[in-house]
Amino acid sequence: MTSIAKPLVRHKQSRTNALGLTIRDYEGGMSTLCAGCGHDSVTAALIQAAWELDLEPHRVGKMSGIGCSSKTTAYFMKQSHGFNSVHGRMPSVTSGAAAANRTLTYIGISGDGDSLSIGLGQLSHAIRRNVNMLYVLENNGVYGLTKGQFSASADVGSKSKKGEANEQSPIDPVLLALTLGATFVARSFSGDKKQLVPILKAGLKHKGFGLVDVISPCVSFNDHEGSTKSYAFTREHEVEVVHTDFVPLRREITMPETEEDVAVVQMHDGVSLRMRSTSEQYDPTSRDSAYAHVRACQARGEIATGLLFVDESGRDMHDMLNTPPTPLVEVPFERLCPGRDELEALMERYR
Amino acid sequence: MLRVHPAMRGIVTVANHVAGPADAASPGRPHTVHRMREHTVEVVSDSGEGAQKCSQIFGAVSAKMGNGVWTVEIIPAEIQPPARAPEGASGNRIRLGAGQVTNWGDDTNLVVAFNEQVLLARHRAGALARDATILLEDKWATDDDADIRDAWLQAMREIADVGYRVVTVPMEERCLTLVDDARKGKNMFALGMLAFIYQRNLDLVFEQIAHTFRKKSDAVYARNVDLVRLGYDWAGAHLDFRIEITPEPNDRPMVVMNGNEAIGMGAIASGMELCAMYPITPATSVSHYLSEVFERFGGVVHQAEDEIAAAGVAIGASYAGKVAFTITSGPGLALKTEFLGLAVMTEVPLVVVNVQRGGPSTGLPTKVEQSDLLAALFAQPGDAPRVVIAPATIEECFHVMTTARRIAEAFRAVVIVLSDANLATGVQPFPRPEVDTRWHAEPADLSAVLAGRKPYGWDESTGLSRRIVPGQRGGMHTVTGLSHDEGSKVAYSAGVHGRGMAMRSRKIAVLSSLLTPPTPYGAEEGDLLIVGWGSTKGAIEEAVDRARAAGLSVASLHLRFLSPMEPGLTAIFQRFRRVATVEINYSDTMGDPYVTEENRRRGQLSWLLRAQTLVDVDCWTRVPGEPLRPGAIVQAMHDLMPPRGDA
Ligand SMILES: Cc1ncc(C[n+]2csc(CCOP(=O)(O)OP(=O)(O)O)c2C)c(N)n1
Ligand code: SF4
Ligand SMILES: [Mg+2]
Repeated sequence: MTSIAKPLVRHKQSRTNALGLTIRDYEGGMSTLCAGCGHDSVTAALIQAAWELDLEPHRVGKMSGIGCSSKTTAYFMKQSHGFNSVHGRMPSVTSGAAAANRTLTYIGISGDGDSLSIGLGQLSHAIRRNVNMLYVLENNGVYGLTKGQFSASADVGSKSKKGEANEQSPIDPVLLALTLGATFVARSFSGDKKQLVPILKAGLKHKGFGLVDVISPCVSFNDHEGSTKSYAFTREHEVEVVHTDFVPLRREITMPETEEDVAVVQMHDGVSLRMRSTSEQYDPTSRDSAYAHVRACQARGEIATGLLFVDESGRDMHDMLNTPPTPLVEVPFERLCPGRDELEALMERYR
Repeated sequence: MLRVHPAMRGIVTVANHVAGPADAASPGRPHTVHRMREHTVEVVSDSGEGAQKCSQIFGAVSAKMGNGVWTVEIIPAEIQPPARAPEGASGNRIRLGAGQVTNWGDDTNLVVAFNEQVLLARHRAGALARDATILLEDKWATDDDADIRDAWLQAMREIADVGYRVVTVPMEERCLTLVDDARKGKNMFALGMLAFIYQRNLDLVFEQIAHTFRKKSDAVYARNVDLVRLGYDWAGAHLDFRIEITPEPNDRPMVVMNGNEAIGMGAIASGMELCAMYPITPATSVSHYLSEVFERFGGVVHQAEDEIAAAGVAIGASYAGKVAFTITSGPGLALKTEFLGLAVMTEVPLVVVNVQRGGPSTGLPTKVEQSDLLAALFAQPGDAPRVVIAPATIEECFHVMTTARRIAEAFRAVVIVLSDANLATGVQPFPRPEVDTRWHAEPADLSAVLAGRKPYGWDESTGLSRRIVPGQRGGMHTVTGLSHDEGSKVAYSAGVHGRGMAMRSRKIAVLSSLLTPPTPYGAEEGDLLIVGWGSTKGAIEEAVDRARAAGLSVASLHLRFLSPMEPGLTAIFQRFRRVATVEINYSDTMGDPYVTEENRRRGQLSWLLRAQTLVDVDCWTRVPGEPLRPGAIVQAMHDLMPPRGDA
């Protein structure tokens, strides 16, 4: 992707993670997005999350489609592998990569056009298949790259720059994912890094498909008055219904459960999530409760954020396909080609 | 007893009909044994009555007994066509020979028909020889329903003058002595009759039944065996002829399968382990076959949500270090095109198997056509050079998969394999492949990448480079469909764009330099050269033999590589006075309204050959929804012959 190399200046005192890497090691090329674009804040949060989780850069696949949002992969983790595929089709490419090598961490970056218009089918099926990946949907209500047409996430009544109001009802990725059986559904705001980073970390650790819908304003085409995806509107209407703390393994013992925790969710490799709900009835481990609350917020004109639903017991794509634990790419030579005996046995049937 | 319906007086000949106890069913009555070099038989029924199972078993047994065999499915387009309707005719045609049989031949010599309507379908399709023998279920002649009796009478009238020999058979009545539902038994009865007529080894028949119904109970097996015996004995007691086709000696071990099974097995042999697909006729059975056996080798059959996603999954898996393949047919290929462009641009190895059917659009879903050639080469905007290979026989369907995998991997290229419905469903014995270590795929190289190695470190003269896969340390880069340089860095400058383009195209030229020029069949030079590709090889070469025997100076050339073109074509073409392609796709006929030399739509291969060789390559193409018949090609050869003295 288009990017400008950043000068690498190392400060002696910069902190390192368990791999001995500084946060700068998780950065990417210089962004060429518009100054102030929400997507750049998501990039920053991703860098932070990956660094804090000690992700081995060469074991990460950054996957994307096409759009301003999809360019994000170029702006973080330049020491990782990546694939900018075609518009709306990143989920299938990631499913294939995951099928061939299940040991890598896949971070999919998409936009609302990429995911909810052209790619709605692929997104839905990746959710159903429960592909093991973090899926970040940078949602700005428009097609930024093609200069500001309404996308499928534009709210009814939201106004374009020229003043036209959208009349078609929106596709809400959170409600969609809940309906389709997603096992990790969150919404956040690019302007709220404190909320976003723990959610991204939780999504990265989640076994299965982790959807994070991030309201990520487009300053060039959808940040004006009358837009429901602007910074101002989002700040004003955002309601964090679930607050999540991500608790890494080594800190767990020192953190006692508090009374405010509504749920402590144990994730697969020892880390846990502490979730606090601002509403008494909200249970982030209940799909129905999540669905009802997101709908209720929507009806009030509020944007429900937080880690809205999580279920760590789901079966992911590999469980369902019954794939062996050794990734396909590492299957040794002798097993890769079935060999003379196996082939002969197969052919015996056709003698 | 053999019954002759009054409406059939004059049509039915019952030679040698023996007196004696009506159902004393012991073969050994006097039969005229006709010794043949080849014979073609069809079993047709309503869909769901099992004619296909019957003929598949018969074909497999015949192959095991050493006969050459070529079977073609007769498939109705609908899953549940109405009963007793010509459009519902379903079954198989099996051409048996003493030696190798390379195509389905011309006409059918013997038909077993479960009702007169499906028989009519075959008659109307011109599928039957004028002197064909027809074994026809007789229950419809005396059906309770007056409309059915009437339909029977009309059908008999329609076929009365052809010269067929119709023998009515009480299939249903006989079957009901053993089973309650004759619809479920007739096919085995028919198999028994065929086993008698063609002197098939009953032990082999029973063995094949055991295999075919291996997932069913022992009772099903026993019942089917009884039904076969019933048919066998009935034929022995009532028919006056048998047919003998003595196989030529052959001590090579053989295997018998259809083209889709061959592709599936070939994929396994080639070390490809991920097949992504979305069901589509006539490609689906490859994945059915694979899902049965693939998992044993740790392989994955990924049924995607559509063909676009299937292509994406295959590309993703190849990106991660495999060589994956996707299998489809026309409408699916149409959807995959954007991804084909991505795979070409990113040099992710990809094998696409396209089992062609009639098009455009939904077209003729179950019927053969060769009309995706230009789409295989050119479908998708932008210049995207790739490899296109077409297997010509079922044996080649097996081997092409290894060739495709190796080329895709070594050249980091998209390889499209063009099979078709004729190969997909045709069953033919071929020499059992000897496993060769050169087929084996190497596991992905996941070792650290040396400093300085670029993801597209193109060799200047060949355009080849070694890929880097995710998970490898060092060499980290983002793969992109945008125009890029060696380092996968996006650059819009004309120089970078042109260079990448040249490198990707160069690879195809390099591949072409590695191919050997093809050899014409029949003669090295002469009046007429027929050029073909894909499944028509057997029919074309048989036509060459016949035409040459009749004194025509004709030869044929069969191409496997369509992109790059096989080398040396121009030189070969120059040794013939006229060159024409024979293809199963549409071309305008000169002389039709408005058609001129300049606007004429031509056969797809002839278009390509003209462009590549500047030779005036003519074409003879047909879209009959069935394989070409060698007899029709011989006729075309006569028509295409350049007039004497035209130099
Ligand atoms: C097949 C195809 N159709 C159309 C386009 C043009 N296109 C590129 S990005 C885009 C929309 C991007 O919108 P979104 O995913 O919301 O990303 P944003 O730019 O808003 O971040 C479109 C229509 C394309 N690249 N490919
Ligand atoms: S056009 Fe909008 S989405 Fe694209 S970079 Fe600019 S602000 Fe971001
Ligand atoms: Mg957008």
